[in-house]
Amino acid sequence: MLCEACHQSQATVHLAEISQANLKKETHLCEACAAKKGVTYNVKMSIEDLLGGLLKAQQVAGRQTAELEDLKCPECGLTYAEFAARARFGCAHDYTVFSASENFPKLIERVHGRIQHTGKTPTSPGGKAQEEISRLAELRRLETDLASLVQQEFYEKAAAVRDRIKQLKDAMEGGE
Amino acid sequence: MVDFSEILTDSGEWLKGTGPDADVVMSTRVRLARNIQGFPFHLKATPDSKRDLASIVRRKVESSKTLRGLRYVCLEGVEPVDRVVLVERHLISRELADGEGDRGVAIGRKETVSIMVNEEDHLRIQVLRSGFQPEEAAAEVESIERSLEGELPFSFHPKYGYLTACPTNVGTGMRVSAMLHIPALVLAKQVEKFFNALAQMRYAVRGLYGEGTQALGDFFQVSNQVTLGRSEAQIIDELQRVVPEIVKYERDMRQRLMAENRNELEDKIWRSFGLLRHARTLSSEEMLRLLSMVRLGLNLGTPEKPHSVIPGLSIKIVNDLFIATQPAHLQKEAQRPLKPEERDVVRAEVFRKRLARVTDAQ
Repeated sequence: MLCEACHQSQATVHLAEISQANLKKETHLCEACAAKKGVTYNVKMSIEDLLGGLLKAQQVAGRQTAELEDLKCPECGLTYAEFAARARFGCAHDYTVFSASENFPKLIERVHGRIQHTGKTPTSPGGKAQEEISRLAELRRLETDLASLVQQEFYEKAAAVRDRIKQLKDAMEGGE
Repeated sequence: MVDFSEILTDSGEWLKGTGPDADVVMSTRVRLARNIQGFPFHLKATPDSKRDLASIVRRKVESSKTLRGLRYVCLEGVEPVDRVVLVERHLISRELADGEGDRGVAIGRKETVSIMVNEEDHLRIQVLRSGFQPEEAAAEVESIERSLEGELPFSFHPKYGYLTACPTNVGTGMRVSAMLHIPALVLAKQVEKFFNALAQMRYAVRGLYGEGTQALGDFFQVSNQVTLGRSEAQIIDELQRVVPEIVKYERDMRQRLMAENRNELEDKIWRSFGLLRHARTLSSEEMLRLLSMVRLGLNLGTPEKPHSVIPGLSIKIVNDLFIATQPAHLQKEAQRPLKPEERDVVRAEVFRKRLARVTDAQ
């Protein structure tokens, strides 16, 4: 992205001005023009600071806020608000969930300048590895279910889950 | 206490000063971040998920033909001082050392390879090389990744690439960095110029110990910030165009200083050597400052015509001392916890002992 003032250097300073009407105006400048404009900033800012700043700026946007707030990952429970606060994802599925908002690719683009991966792609691993990992994931889910069923005193259902767990563990042990 | 003697030899291969352009580039590091399908990322990981993941990775490493030479260290049971030793040797990060729960690192015999498990991402594969060797380091990292890939499904998205806990690593998950020693540019106050140019090109410049540290010892770590939208080969290619420029400037500046301020420069170098050789207390900061001048003294020529002001001193000794006199290493040396003042005394002792064998030739 080129600097909007001189149209020569790359824009590395992104200003988001938020007015009273909650309108967001974005200006993109190179360092030299930003300095001329009197913008001071911490050069030694970490990547996390940058990300946090971008996320906060996006949160105070127009109507997009409602849609962003609704996003929550069904797998790990991460909400967009939590992501914005921690600048970290909870699981791989979050990328798909947050892609529902058009702001998400923009965020990625702000960090990298691009949004499409052009590097290598994975080769698929052996089926055995996949199997083992899905089994472990299921085991964890069942154990969580068991704990909550016992707490709610649904003992019959809990017994069934407990049997399923034993079945799974035996199968895994046998497999090794 | 874990016996590291099997894993940690006297110093890592990457410290021997044998790589290309080692007079300016101390080391090159290539790091790959990967997460395994079916497991939550660090933020939402549970003690169970961490344990399961660590045990799977450990088993895969120990059963792999190509990776069997790596020794896995589970950090949960390890004493804090030993963990910091690993940090000081650049084998694990501070985050992993200070983290919680089941986590570990697989370390290669020459200390050039380390695979961190359950840090910010499930896997952080790292290769360190002496001097400037991004292609070789990347090739080794990719070969390790291929061995693991055969057994473990990595989280991947067709648009965003390899998925990582922090969006700043997504895509290739690859960070390539060079640790530059540029005392001449610092003396000539030319470093700011480079910072700005590098920032414009989306390169991060950090101090000795990674993010947010000061420029101790005239060391600067230059690394790519962009990991998405560039292929692995492009990332390496770009670094290979940027670093040699800085190397050239540093070498030119060294020649200029020799031509214009020879006496002043040599005096500075020898005074630094003198202090390291004879002082009774040395703080970490002072040590790094002095060592920087000594290291400069060893590298005042060009690759074609090397020139050292202290011929009896090798770069390997300098690098070994640099590692061996860090706080946790000193504590291990003294075999007891040390207060900062005591550390400064032990540090000075280690230098005196080691440098006594170096002849003070002129």
